[in-house]
Amino acid sequence: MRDTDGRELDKTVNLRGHLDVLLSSGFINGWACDNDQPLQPLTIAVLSGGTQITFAIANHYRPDLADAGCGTGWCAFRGRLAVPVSQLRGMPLSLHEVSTGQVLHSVSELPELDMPIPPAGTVEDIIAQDPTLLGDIGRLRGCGRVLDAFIRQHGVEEFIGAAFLYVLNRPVDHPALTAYTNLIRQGLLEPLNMLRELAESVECRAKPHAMVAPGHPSFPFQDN
Amino acid sequence: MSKSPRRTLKTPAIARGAKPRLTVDVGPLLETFWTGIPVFTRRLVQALLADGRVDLSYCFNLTELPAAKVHAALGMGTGAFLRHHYEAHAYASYRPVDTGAPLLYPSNKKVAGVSPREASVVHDISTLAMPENHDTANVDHHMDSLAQELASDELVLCASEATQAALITYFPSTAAKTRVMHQYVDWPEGFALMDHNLPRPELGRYAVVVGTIEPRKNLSILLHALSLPELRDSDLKFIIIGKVGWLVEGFLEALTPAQRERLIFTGFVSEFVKYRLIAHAEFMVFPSLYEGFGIPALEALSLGKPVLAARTSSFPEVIGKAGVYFDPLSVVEFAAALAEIEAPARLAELKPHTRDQAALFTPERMAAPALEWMGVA
Amino acid sequence: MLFDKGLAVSLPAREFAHAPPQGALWEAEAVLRQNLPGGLRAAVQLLRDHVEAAGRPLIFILRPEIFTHGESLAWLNARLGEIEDHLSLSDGVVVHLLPGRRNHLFFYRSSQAEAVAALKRLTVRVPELAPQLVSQVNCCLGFSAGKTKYTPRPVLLQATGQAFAGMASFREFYFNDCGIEDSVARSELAGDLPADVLARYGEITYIPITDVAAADPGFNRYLAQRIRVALGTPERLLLLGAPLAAGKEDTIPRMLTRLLRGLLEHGGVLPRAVLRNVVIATALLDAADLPDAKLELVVPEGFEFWRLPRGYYSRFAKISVALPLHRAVPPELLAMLTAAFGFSPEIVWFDPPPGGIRAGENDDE
Repeated sequence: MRDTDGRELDKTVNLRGHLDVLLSSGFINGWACDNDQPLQPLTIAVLSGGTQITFAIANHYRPDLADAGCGTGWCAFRGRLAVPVSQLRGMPLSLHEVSTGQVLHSVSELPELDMPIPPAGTVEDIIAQDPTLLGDIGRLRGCGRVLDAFIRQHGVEEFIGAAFLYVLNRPVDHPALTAYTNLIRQGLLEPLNMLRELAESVECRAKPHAMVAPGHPSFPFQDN
Repeated sequence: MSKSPRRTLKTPAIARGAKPRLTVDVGPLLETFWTGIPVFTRRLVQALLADGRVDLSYCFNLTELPAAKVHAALGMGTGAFLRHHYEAHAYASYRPVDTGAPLLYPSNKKVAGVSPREASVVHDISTLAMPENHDTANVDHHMDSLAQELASDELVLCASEATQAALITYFPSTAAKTRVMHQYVDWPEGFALMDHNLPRPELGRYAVVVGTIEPRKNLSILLHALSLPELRDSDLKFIIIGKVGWLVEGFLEALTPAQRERLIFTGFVSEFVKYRLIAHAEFMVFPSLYEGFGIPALEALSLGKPVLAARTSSFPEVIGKAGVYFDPLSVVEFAAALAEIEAPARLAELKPHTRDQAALFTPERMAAPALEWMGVA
Repeated sequence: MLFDKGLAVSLPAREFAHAPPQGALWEAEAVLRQNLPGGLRAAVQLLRDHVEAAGRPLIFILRPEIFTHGESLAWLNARLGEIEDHLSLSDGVVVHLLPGRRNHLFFYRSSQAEAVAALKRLTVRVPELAPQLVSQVNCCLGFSAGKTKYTPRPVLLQATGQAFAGMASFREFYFNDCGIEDSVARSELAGDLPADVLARYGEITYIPITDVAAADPGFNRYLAQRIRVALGTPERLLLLGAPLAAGKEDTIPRMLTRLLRGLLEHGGVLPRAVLRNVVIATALLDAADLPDAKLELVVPEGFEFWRLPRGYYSRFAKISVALPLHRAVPPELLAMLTAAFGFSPEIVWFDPPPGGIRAGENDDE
């Protein structure tokens, strides 16, 4: 198998995906992730009989995906269909990762759900739909492996420093660094729970700021 | 613009095949949140990297910064971690900047004459022309060193022709060594697709207004206009994007509830939300009294949106034929211009010019004056 | 001539922060309808009187800095028509230049110490600004540009019919050397002196003190000496004009404080008693305030002489200009003052205080 640039692909590339459902309002839902690079959202295409019916970036959060260990859980997509949904009833569909062309999932037909997608009627709606921001700290629940990988690569202290910058928008103070380092090294505190603690702190509540989502380039716990 | 002859910039002798070295002071990139000058700096560095004909290195306060860390910051879009590394590791592993290489400051210099060849960027001269819109410390900081900075620069880069013209008016001796460095818009890849797949905004008819509520941004002209009879019956709303600074005293109180409902203040929003709000607006309103460049106008043009802009400073050169202009100090002119741009026929006339105008501003064009200075243009 | 083909005048933006949004270009009457501080109002009226009397167009510009070049400058140029001269009506903080026109300066706040300091700071920070000024109205300031000194040609524009003065009231002079607050409080308690207080004297020396002078240790020593001399001449009145502030509103207590503070810090000994023949005026005296008496005028540094017409000065038997010793008096300055007063003033030099501390370096009036 070759990628779009003609390079030979490693056949063990850990891309996974699934087409879930057609929506009668003209969308298709699914998910796609690269478990080797869970922080890199995939761009997908859905084809019907060789015709592209939608493109999308799989960077939306779904708690069930987080629980199932699909990437970080931030790998869902909803693509706007280029053709009427009626044309896709009973038709085979395939989900592709765009840069490699790899087929992630194929179905002979996809169920349809009658679920209207309301428009964004207020600025608050638009803000709520923003997949580039984290929203609630609980949406990091699928990021445990990412945080562990970061610590393995950069060390606990680096993780704590990045956590303070990410959640509290300030450098870590020495007492906190010492305390958290000990807790994490002794296995008394999971990295994810440390982030939760910081987010629920009085300091954070007094000066909240928007944290970026795991798929955003500014997400600090990158494995590079 | 001054008719002074352009001075041919000195260029060093370059060994055949060797790339000339250039150090960029990336101090602005050490900010956590990038707006204004940090974004300008990012774009400049990325434009020079994309060109590839100069050997770039980076510094801050005469301290060399590791290129890998700077590039990582560029990728992340924040300087928080670069700054953290600088603060944590400078003692152990950083070294002073090589003062032999030409040194380029994307904003004003803190110290002059370190390198034999220096260039800096002047974004605007508002601290000179309208100091009442700045706090005193900022005016002092900028103005105390400006003359020396300009004298020590071999090249003075101006963020716009307007800045260049204004600078030459007060410092005619700089005329021959100034060049214009226009920046460009680069929305993150994927924004258009993400927007396409999200539910369409249905906010009614609206125009976006960019800028905080501070005197220089002149939002008060809009607030005055809303109380005019000819605007009362319009259903056009105004979505004001940006952190709310200090409120224009009394104006909001003077509006009726119906008028106030036409103003929507978003507060801080992400870059993607800003993109969506602009992309689904009818047009942008930019009533600023004075801008060094006016990147929000270019952002609107890049998304096919005409701009209702003050006829001042850099706006005409950035917006060109893709906008309607008004005297920013006249509410009557503003109202008339608003009525003009709202008309569907006029919007249809302006739209074809928008993306073409935006396309004039490219990374290549931004990098060009620096490359000319380095002798590789 | 300054306005052969009319005059475009830049307004100081700080004073128009709450102006109605009626456009960037204003007529004189529209400017005068705004709430302006006294000095600015006087300057605008002066320009109106002179330029419009000559039958020339007069246009005021708010925010000239926004017309930098290209389309915006073309818009402005189209409206200025044949006007070739631009005058920056400057508060000392900003001096505007219009490209493509002859630029002139009218520094209308020469009496204010912080304005003088601001202008000096500006011309040091922007050394190429002053050499671009063709002339300066009602001033004779010298600007240093590196090793050279440049003095834009002084031009006199003086009040003609009316004086741009205020409604003066009169207060007793009481000096408590242990605290100004008591002096001021007693003055407030005592209130205004009768309006005819000046008429009781056959000889009056009037010293309208400026804020610049009030801040000058040498002038305060001189002033204190004049007050001590007045002790021996009870038949003569020493009339001190309290220094006005630059802002739109000033209060008598503030003015009194400014006057007395300088005397307290630099004047030496003065009696702690009400001095019957020393009176404080709370505004620049109008011609109608001048009694039928032998009048002497002593003018300190920064005095805005242009606010009073020549006819006003003709009422004075003697006019002196009080300056620090060694202050240069360029011939152009003397010529301007002679033209304004109608006769040559006497220059009175006062010594700097011990230690050689003197007020500002600019030679100006």
